[in-house]
Amino acid sequence: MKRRYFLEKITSSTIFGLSIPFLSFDNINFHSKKITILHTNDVHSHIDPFPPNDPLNPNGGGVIARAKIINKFRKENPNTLMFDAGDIFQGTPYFNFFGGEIELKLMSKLGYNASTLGNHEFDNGIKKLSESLKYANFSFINSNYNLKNTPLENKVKKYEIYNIDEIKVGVFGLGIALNGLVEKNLYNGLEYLDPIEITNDITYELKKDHKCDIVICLSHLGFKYDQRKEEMCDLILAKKTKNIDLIIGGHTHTFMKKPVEVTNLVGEKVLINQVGCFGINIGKIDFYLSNENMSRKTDSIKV
Amino acid sequence: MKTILYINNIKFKHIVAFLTIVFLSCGQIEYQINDIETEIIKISEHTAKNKELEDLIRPYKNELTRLEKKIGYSNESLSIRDGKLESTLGNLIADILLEESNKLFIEKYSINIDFCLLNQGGVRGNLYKGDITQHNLLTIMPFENTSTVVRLNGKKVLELLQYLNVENKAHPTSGIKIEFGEEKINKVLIQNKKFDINKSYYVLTSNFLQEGGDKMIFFKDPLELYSLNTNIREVLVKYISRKKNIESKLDNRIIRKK
Repeated sequence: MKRRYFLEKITSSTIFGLSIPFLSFDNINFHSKKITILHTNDVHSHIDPFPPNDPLNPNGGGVIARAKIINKFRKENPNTLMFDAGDIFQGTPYFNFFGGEIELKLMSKLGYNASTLGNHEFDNGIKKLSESLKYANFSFINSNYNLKNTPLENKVKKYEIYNIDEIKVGVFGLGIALNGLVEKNLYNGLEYLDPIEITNDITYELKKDHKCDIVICLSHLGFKYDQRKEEMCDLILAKKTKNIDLIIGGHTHTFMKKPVEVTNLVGEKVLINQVGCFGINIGKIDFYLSNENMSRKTDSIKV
Repeated sequence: MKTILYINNIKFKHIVAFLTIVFLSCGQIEYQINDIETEIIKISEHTAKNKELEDLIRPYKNELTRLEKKIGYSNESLSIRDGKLESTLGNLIADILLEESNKLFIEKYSINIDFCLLNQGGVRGNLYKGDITQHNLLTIMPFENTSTVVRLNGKKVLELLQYLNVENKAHPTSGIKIEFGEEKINKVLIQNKKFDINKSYYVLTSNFLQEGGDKMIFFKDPLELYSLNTNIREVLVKYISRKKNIESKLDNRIIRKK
């Protein structure tokens, strides 16, 4: 708690110090900006909280409790975006009986901006998945599945750019290879493309062509695989690419204590965060930006 | 937990910022990330209220209430993650599935199934102490997988054992006892008989794993393939409804000696 107070104090006192004497410069908006990213992954149809007799998470999670926290954070900072890293479906009878309808309706109410596709989104087949998307008022983003001539064609975005308080946030999505995870006939026609190649193309486009200030990857590749070290995962992705600021991960149900910092292809820092599963946790990342050319991002001073 | 990752001297920056305003005319504004602050928040306020969301959930929830009927009872909470290479819930599921499928298999083909292997990832929740409901079982095994029997040659069974050795996970098994060493396989008993690479074995699994799910490629292209077409969860539901009281424990069926 002390850490948080410390930062807020610095920010507010400097804004105060700046804005009072130089009010006339307000039109060029020289203040620092704060963009909040909220995120979940692998919620797996967990709508009700865990029962009180659950050995690991008694009374934990639950969509209504999640809504309360989201609303609180949105009130603190209206410049908030909310994402999910996939595997929305499968895990409670809500999915067996209603095929994902209620999950997507609730996420729409909660104000999610986008989600990527997890492997379990295909559990009822690509056609049913495509039909269920009508219950979502947010985007599905995936950049490395070729969906041409499948029911998902034109329903999934390659990337999305959010203009929020003058800040451009570019978001793209990566899905896991479905072979061995999903029965073949459930994803007929979908072609998996190499995430690294796609990422370097898309992040270049987002950062250089569209001038995004923040680039976020919604990934369902999994954080890492200890037994299969060569297998594509967020750690490998972060190391072998550039122009990503944050990877919001999923699939491996990894409960991180804090985000993992990785050095990318050109020596810049990338953050990877994943918040376990079943809606037990929510992640919050605050980006502080300013328009001075003084970024010392690589210095990374830990407080 | 809150972690502050990058913090610059903001006061210093603002002095520079002021100087920049003075000396430069207004040009293209480009923003840069200076600091990132992160927090992972545990969601625990289960008493929170939200009328709009409750109204949305209610009709769906009401339809599911018929799943709340008691079908059995468990003296303990069982989990898929309470052991190293086995688990109480995994043992229960694999034991029930092997016992029930074997009855059917003998009836149909007069053949005994040797052992059963499922995957840890197929078991998604805990069995709670107290009344067991269908809702609980649907959360534990939400997938519509069916039981499948394959006849594997000894070489494929060895691949299976090597897979378990490398994976080092509590995949549910029944009918097989394995002792791993630090890296190698020390001892394997199938139906209490020493594993013989020159023999073939009848292995029970799910259709998902048989098709190579969870990278269990040794199940693909078996000598013989039998689809029992019984939903694995339904086998459990029927068994628990009949037996009423359920028990399971860790029995060192798969261990690693270091």
